[in-house]
Amino acid sequence: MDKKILIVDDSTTIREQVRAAFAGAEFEIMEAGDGVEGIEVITGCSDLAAILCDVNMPRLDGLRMLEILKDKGRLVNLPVVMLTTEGQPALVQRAKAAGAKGWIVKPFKPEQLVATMRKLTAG
Amino acid sequence: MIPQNGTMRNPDNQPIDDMLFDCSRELFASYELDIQPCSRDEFPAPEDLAFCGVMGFGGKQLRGAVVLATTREPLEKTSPVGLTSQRDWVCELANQLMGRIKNRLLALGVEVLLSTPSGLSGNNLSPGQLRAPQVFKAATGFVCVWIDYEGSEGFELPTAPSGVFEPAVGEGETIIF
Repeated sequence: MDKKILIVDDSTTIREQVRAAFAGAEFEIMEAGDGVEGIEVITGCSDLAAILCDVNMPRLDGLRMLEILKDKGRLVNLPVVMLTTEGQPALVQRAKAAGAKGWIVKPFKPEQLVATMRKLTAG
Repeated sequence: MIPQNGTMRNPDNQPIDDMLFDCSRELFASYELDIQPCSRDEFPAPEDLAFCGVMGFGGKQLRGAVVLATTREPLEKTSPVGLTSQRDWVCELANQLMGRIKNRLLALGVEVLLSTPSGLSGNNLSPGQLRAPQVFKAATGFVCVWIDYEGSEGFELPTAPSGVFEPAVGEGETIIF
C-alpha cells in the first residue's frame, strides 16, 4: 500500500509540483491549502506517513500548525519537513523545537524531495 | 551589480535595487530561464502583462513590498508542471524572490517578516509610470520587478555581512535534523 504524504501549501502550483515529483513513486499525495486545512486532514487521517509543510500561509502558518499538532501529541512518529522560501535560523530552530525533521528551501529538486521523504518514512 | 546602460533603477535605492536585480536573475536562473536587463521602453504594453505577484514585508528597520510582473511566456517557461494558474504561479515566484531578498537582508543584519503573496491582474498595470521598475527580457517575454520601501529614521543598508543572522538554509538546499 502506498504511503500517504500530506503537502500543506497555499500555492496550488507547488502542490501540483509535489504531486508530480512523487508520480510513479510509492506514495499517495494528499493536499491542504493552509494550516487550518492541514490540521483537519491530519486529525482525520490516522495513517499519514509524513507531512510537507510551507511556513507562510494564510489563516494559520505552518510553524503554528506544527506547534498545535505537537501540543496535541499528533506528531509522534509522524515526520514533518518544512518546504518554504524561508531560511532564517530562528524559524528553523522553531520548527525543530516543534518536532520537524527537515527543512527544504524552495525551489526544490524533485528527486531530492523524493529521496528525503523515502529516507524519513523508511522502516 | 546592475549594468549602467539601458536599465531602470532609482539611484536613491541603489543597494536594495542591486539586491533585487541579483535575486531576480538568480531566481529565474534556478528555473533555467536567463533574463537580461533591458530598457523600460522595450517592455510591452500593460495589457500584455499576465499577472503580478506582490509580497509585503516589514521589520523594525524596513518595510515595503516587492512586486514581480511578467508577460505570459516567462510563467510558462518556469512552471515545472504546466501553467494551470498564472496568478498562483506568479505569486509563488514573488514569494521565492522575496525569500531570496530576505536571506540577503538577514545576512546584513536586517530582519524582516513576510506576508503571504497576493496576485493582481496585470491588465491595469502600467510599469512605465512606476517609480523604479527593473525590466528584463527572456528569450520570449518580459519580466519586471520593483521594490517600494521605507526605512526607519536613519536607516542605511549595511554594506557588510553582520554574521548574526546568516540564513541556516540556502535556496534549493535541504537539511535533515
